[in-house]
Amino acid sequence: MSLIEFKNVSKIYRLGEVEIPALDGVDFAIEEGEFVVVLGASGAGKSTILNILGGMDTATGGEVNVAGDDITKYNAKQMTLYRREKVGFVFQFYNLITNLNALENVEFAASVTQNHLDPAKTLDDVGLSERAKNFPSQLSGGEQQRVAIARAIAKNPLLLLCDEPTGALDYKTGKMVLKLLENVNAEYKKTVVLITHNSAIAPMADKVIHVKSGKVEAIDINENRMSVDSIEW
Amino acid sequence: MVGGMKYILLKTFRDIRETIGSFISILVVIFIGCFFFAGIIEATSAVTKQVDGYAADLNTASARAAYMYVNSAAVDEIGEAEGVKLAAGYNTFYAKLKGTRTDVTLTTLTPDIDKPDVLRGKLPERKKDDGFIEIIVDKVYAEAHKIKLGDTMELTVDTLDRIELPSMNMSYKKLDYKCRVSGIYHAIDVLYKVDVMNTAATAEEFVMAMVNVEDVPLFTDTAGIYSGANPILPFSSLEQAGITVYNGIRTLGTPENAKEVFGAYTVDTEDAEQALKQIQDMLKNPSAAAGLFVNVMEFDEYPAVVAYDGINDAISALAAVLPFIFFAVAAAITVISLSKTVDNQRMQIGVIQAIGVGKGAVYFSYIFYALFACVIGGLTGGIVGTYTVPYLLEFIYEGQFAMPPTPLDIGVLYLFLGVVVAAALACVSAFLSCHRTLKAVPAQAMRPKPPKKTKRILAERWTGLWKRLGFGAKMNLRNMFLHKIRMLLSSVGIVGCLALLIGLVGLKDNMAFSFNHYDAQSGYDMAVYLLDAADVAAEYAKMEESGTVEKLTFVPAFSAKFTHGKKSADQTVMALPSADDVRKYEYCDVDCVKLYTDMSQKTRLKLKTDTFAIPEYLADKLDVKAGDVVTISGRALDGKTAEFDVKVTDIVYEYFEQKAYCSYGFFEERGIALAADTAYVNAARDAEINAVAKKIENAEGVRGVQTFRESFGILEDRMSLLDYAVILFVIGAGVLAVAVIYNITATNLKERTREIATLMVLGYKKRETANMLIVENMVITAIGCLLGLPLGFLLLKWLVGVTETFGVFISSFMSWYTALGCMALTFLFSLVATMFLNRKMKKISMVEALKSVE
Repeated sequence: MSLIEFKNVSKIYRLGEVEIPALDGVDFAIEEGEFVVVLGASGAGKSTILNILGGMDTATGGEVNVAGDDITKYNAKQMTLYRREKVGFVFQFYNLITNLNALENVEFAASVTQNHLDPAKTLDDVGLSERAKNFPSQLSGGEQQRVAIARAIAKNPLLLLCDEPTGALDYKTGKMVLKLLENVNAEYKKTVVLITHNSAIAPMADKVIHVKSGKVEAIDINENRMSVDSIEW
Repeated sequence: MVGGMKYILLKTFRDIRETIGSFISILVVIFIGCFFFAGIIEATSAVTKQVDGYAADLNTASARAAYMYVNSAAVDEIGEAEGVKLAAGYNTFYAKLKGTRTDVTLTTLTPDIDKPDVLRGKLPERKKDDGFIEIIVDKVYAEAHKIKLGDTMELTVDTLDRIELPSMNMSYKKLDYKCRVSGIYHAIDVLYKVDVMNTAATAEEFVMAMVNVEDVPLFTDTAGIYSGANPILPFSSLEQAGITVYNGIRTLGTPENAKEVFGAYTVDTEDAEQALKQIQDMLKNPSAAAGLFVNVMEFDEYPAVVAYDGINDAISALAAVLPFIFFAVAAAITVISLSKTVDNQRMQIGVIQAIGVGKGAVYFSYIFYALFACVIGGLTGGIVGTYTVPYLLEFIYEGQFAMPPTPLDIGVLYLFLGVVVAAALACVSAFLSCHRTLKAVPAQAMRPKPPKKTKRILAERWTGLWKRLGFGAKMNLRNMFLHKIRMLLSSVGIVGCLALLIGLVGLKDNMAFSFNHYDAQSGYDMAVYLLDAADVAAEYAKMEESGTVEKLTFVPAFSAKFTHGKKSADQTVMALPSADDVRKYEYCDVDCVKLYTDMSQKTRLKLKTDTFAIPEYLADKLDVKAGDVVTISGRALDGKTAEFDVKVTDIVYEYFEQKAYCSYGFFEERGIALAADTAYVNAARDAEINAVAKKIENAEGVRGVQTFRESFGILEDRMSLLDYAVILFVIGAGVLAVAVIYNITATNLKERTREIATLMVLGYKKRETANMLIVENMVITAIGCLLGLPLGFLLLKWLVGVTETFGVFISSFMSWYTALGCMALTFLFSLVATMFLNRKMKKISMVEALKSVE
């Protein structure tokens, strides 16, 4: 059984009397330890997939199985527990807690999780042990994103979900962040799901899920995954 | 309207819709501020106008001068003095209603001045053949005693018999008159329905009445000014010369130097020879203006007017100070919520300016926001206040005073003034809120605002403590200290709320404490007031066992001026029996008034011969402590001067009735007459107090009796006025706290939506997130409480000072349970407001919140 299975998943947003379908019968599976890129243009539905998978939103129909459990059946409490124990998020705009310094941000995430990693070591792993006492406002964008990754890893989650993690970064910093995610996938054996509109990133994934107009258009398997070092955009 | 302005206005209205909670909270606070401001000031001003207008309608005398006697020539001369439009002589008598304990102030009619407002019946006509004199009586007494037109009553009138030179002592003869009630009138001098603080006379025991001047002669046939046994100026001789004699002059219009003008007709009583010479001059020319002046009172010095104005002024003072707490809070929350709105719309402001709209229009948008809240809140609050509070106050006053039955003349001046004050504060607040953002050039404003730099806070220096704190606490602390000004502004509402609560509840608390203290201090059942001062030693010697009275204590007293350094004050000195005195005069009771040197009434002061104790308030006023020497000067009841220096041995705590105390022995040692016109009585243990009171009342020489319970009850009734104010202001304080905390939390929530959503994504439970907000609000509430406590105490002190205007002296401490209770209530209000927002927090969508760009 795959670690993640989306079965005929649909999502409809209702704005008054208007129904806007965001996902329409999405099916895919992700295996444990895979690096998956969900690729699509703006409005294709990739963020909706990530939100549903991360327990931040609920599907209107279908099944979302994560490690054998259908998370669409979860109530609010179970969903909170799911986010707490199973998911690590990395956002485009980092979303660090501004009033906590770098180390405290990581420690905070670890503190809500039972089976967490050592926050200081995790921060060191992303190369920011020197900036541990700095607040987000004292860090560059790339550094903030690395803290966000450390925060996600420190929870020792089953899944690492990344929403356009390089969207707000320059080329060089973006590459550095991707490299970090690649290492996390390799060293921590974490399943990474990264959504992006940048197709140049696709070659670094084990699996590429192409999304268009709320449907899965294609799923590509990269037999020979490329290192991010050799990817240019 | 300029095209752009239309859209600016549209944007402003949409801003209001978007921040409706904050908008309403500003509006509500301004509503309450204007309600109190316009309502109470308008009410007191309307009531004053009502009384003044009523006085003008009745040609109430601008001045009333009292004389031992004054002749009609002097009245005519005063009538021609500058500033006087009209003068008339009249007579005032002290009288007693036969067979009752009722005192009567009987005055004669002067048709053009002090015109009586006859509510029923008619003015008195000349004495009828049946021997009855027609009188009119005031409505308060008439209502209390169900007096009807045509009822008869018998008066015993003190009629002037002699004025002795050089002592100037006056003596009277009691003459009886049969009277018939021709009318019931409203006497403007009967202000209080009750008069509890001074004498036995209450509304039920005191009546104002008016008669025709011809019907009740001022003096007896043999009356006149005497030097020894012979009259040197018989009044009958003046009458024969066609000169009328009065004992008072009423005027319409007051001469500038009233005392000199009215006082011109007198003799120099200090110098006996000079006095005699002046009287002899009067005899030589009896038709010349002459008289023996006592005093003059102008309208605003009449006791009724002074008391009324004092109370009205005290209430006005409340209205002038307390609403500003609301206005200040409204200004604070306007700054908080508008600053946030401006921050959120920073980019929009840049765009609006980039389009070419001037800064003025942007300022207008936010100032309009605040003004709109002010105008709606202020006008509605002002209108509701203006058209309800005066009637409420009139209703409350009616329970306390004999209000003239005229409609209130309500204006709108204070309504608009309140709105203008609130609007001015709102404009300044709005300007300050957007000034910084508008200083930026459009390009700068369009870029996201750089995040506020987080710094280490003081608490982090205590690493041990800091490490123990949870992340929620760390975030809260940093969030608060990062926005220190906002935190302080936020606590303004709490400060105001707690200060109001402590001030008003504390006042009520002190009132209750003082009542209990007064109750415990007073060991007598009734006070007996005597017609003439009694010689205490002789009275005790005469007394026999009556069977009904257990103990009777005469309380010799005299009014004195206390001087300490440059400070002085008037106070009564009262002698109470000490243990030694009780051995001498066994009837008196050492427990009739218990004195305590501590507030908690644990240390009883045992009077000794040299004890001289003064009340705490007087010690404060004179800046005296135990051991200091004060100078006393006064006139004892036997008319002799009492002047001495004395060491204050103790400071005593007593409320409502303030006196300086010493023992009988103290009086005796200083040669002060042990003469008393009051005695405290205890009924026998199984006797019914009211029955004993009734019996004593009918005894010879007794002017009146009032049981302690009666006077205590009247005092309690009078103080019940306070309950209304407490209820109103506690509601006000509650709304204030809820509105402010709601506003702050709503702003906080909006600002931290992204952070809260992130916490939720990380797996923070809703309860944990909600707790964070609660803790933050509780910390703000705690800070507000810390600042509010001293302010509340100051407000309490001020309010206690205001009650002194009512002639009431009470304690002014803040008990720990008042402080704790008020703080608990403030925390409850704060919690209620936080709970309102809990639902709002639960509705935060993680997806939506995290989508937006920082």
